Amino acid sequence: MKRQFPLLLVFLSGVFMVIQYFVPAGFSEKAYEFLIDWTIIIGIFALALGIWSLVRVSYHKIKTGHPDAKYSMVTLAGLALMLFFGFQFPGYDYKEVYRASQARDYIATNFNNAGAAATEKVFLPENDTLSIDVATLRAELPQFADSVEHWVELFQTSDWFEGADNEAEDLAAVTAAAEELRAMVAQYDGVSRADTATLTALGAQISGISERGAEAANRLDGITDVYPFTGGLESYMFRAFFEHIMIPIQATMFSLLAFYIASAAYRAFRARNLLSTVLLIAAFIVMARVLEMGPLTDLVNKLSAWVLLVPNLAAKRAIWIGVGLGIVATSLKVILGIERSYLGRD
Amino acid sequence: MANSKNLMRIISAAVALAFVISWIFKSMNGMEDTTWLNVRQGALVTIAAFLTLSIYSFLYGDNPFYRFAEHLFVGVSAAYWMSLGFWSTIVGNLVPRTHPAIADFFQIAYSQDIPTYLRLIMIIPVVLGILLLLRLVPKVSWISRWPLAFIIGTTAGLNLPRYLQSDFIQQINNTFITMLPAWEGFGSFFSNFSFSASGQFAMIMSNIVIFVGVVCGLVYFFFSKEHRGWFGVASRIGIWVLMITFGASFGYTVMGRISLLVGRITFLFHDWLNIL
Amino acid sequence: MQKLVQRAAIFFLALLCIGITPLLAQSGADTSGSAMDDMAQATMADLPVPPAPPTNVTVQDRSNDNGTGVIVRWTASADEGAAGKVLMYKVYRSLVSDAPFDQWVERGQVQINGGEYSYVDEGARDKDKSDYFPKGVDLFYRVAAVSADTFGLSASSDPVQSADEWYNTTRTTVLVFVLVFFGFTLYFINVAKTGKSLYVRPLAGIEAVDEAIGRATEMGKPILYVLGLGTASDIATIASFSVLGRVAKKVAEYQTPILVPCYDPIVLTVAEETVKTGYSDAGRPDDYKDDSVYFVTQSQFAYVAAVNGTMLRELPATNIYLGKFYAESLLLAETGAVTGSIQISGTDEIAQLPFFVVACDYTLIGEELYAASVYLNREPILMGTLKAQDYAKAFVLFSIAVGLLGRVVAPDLLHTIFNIK
Repeated sequence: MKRQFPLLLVFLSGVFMVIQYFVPAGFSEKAYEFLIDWTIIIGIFALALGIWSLVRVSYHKIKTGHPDAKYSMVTLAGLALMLFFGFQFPGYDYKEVYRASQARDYIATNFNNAGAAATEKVFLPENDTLSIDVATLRAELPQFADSVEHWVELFQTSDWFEGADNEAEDLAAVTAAAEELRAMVAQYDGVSRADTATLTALGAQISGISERGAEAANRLDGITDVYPFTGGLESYMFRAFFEHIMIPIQATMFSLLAFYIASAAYRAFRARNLLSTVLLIAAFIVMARVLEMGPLTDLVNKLSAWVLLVPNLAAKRAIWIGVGLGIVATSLKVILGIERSYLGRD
Repeated sequence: MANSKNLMRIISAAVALAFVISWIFKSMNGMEDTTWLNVRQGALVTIAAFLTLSIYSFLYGDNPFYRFAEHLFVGVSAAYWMSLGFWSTIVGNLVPRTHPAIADFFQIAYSQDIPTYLRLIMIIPVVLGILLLLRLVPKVSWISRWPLAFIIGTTAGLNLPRYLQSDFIQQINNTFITMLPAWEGFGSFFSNFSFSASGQFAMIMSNIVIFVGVVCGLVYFFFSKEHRGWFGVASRIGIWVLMITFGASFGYTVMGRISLLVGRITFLFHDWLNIL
Repeated sequence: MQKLVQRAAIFFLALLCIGITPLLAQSGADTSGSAMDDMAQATMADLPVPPAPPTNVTVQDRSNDNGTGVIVRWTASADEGAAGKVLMYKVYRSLVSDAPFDQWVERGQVQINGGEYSYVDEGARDKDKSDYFPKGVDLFYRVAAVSADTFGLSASSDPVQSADEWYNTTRTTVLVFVLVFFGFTLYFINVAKTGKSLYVRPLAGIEAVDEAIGRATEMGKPILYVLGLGTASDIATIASFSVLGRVAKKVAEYQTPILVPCYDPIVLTVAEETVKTGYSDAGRPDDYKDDSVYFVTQSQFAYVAAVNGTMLRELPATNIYLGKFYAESLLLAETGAVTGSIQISGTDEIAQLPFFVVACDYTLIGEELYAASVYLNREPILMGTLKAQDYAKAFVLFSIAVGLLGRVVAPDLLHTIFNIK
């Protein structure tokens, strides 16, 4: 039981996935999506095991007075703080949290939609799915204005956002544009769809207002998010740790590659065997394509393009075919239970 | 030993002082208005700069600054992924499919349109996940192999036909190329002869190189036949083609890596020190 | 050396000949050109007389799908020849054949091309999607020939139902290959079981493993085994587990410490099982230390930072990198090279292989990674699968050669067989 059941499970889930590949029906696709979701959910439970492993190893180092003990404390402190920020429960309705950039985009979108409705959609043939008539347009304009004002109010009253220098000015411009939109409704009194000249003139006016409104909205990019301790992934401290601790270290580790690639090239140069020389020559030909080399420039460009297109393609294809076979053989060994060291012994 | 410890303390103190000064300068930058914002932004940028330099100190060798940044990074990032996994997968993916009360508790929209049996089915991964946690109980830790067996079996079954298609059959298909593109007879071939990349001669040669490259590359990967005689020659050509490819790939990456370094230097000198 | 060059030259010449043979049989260039269609220059029709409607509207459930598509075909309107009379066709769908026109939903437009007309009407699989495609109910289609200001509508088509298919016929080639490969594997496993010894060529990277473990034992330093950034859903990682199992067994025999820092939590649990199994196989289950397989973090560069730190502090005698690697490959391999460890690497990520090749002592390229566990173990069953892989490669060489000739004899046949959707 201890040994046989897991092997049976491997076999059944493996064979199921292979068969699923050949069955295009909807339920088969759904089963596939569910199984993938399952593995992701199990992965999160596993992550808890991972965190446990990290804590255990760090604690062990601290307890045994390992030379890295004090750094292990740093790890545990970072872990605990970030978990504390990340698992803070949303203080209020999580669905209602918006970013400043999001609110800004909503305002601009509302203006753009108003402009499009008045200039384009009212002229589309009536059976077109996007077309609207004058009555609909009249009903929609105040809705766009309402929506804009809702977001402006959010900017003014919410403590999620922190203001910028010209904030009041730009918000006033946005509100003014929204009011103008609302006022335009009266202009459509007695205008019919056939009256294209009037519709065109009014459309031009509305699109002018909308452009001004959207521009003012885009100037609001000085407003930033601050919602201290809202919780979850939106927590201010969680984001601050991510943006000012994780991102800089990550980017710096990545950029170390610039130094390492140089030392690796030197290592290849020192090796002085035939194969590493071939490798280096190909590398220099491809690298040289960005250099200005007088009369040689054209030749080097052509040569490096050829190397990247032709031998490169051939070798990649040979590797792909081999890798494909390796994957198929390994999968088969796993499904058939030939390869099972990962399942433990007893 | 004691001396080096003292030296380390002095260096640490000096570094700390330097960064505090940098923080003060950054905070003073806009003292007239929103001071608190500048103090906070200054602190964040200073921390980021300190961590950046700490990581670069690895180029000199292992040292306390690198160790600090490394250990902090490990702790913070582990918690970051745990939180992300919890909110996006457990709350975002699983909770909406469970029960309205649970969805309400997490303040997330409940999926209405899922039939009951599909809701019940979502209990299975939770059970498997809990079985996995039983690893921590030595007596029943063997049960934790069940979810592992499920995941590995699914992976194997998923990859087997799909890689057979994309990495094997599809690649064979792509190798069926005409050796002689738009051939119009020897007369035309010689009268229009040129070495240009789009010319017929170059294209024929390229196709032959691709063909030979694929064949020799594959020969190199043969395991159960001795690489001697003709087979050895082909395998030798194969490894040469592989090395040319690796070189090309190496050369192609260099510029990208240098631009990453430029990015970090810009951060240090522009965002932090304001001198670029 | 001279002989070698001579042989290579003959080889090239032979290949050239293979290439030139089909050319002699090949006829002139393809002349079926794309004659420009003057009809595209449509002008406005003067009279609002509707164009003749399209005829023969036939419908068919799209095959090999999940019941979300119907193919509509029709014959061109008789007025298509008259300049500007027909601008395009619109396809309409309804659940009732005699519904009034406003209940027919426009599903798509087809530009005139003067030839055969067909349109694939498709939608989403799930009912909660806005463009859900009704499954298992009668659907009716009409096609309109549209002029500048009016249109001529065809009669309704026969009813059609979209249905789930049970088997994707375009994937038959894959099925055949799966079965053939399975057959090969079983056959060679049986051959291997009879005790017939199968030759395998030496792989330097694998032969170095024993030596590297021995060196670590002599130096009293640990072995660092890095499984890479792969998750349990990467077969490369699973292949690496097999090698880890063998390495753990040898390490247990030599009583050398092993360090396995993990990036993915599932990989962590599997790696724990694997290493424990290795220790049990060596008869020393109690020597396994809990801290030798440990989780670092699921963040690429934090993982690298930690592993690099471990290299500098623990100074492992040997670093083994097998599995999936991305940009971190060079950061790891260069640090290891600087600390003077023996380094054995292997991955199927082509973009990272150059860095491993340059900075490591031994590199397993692509398929060699998958073969590694067989080399370390040499169980007949596993040798059988290796032989099956070689036969599959021989088949590839054969079919590429045939393909060269096949391009002339039947240009499309091979693509039909090998092109899978």
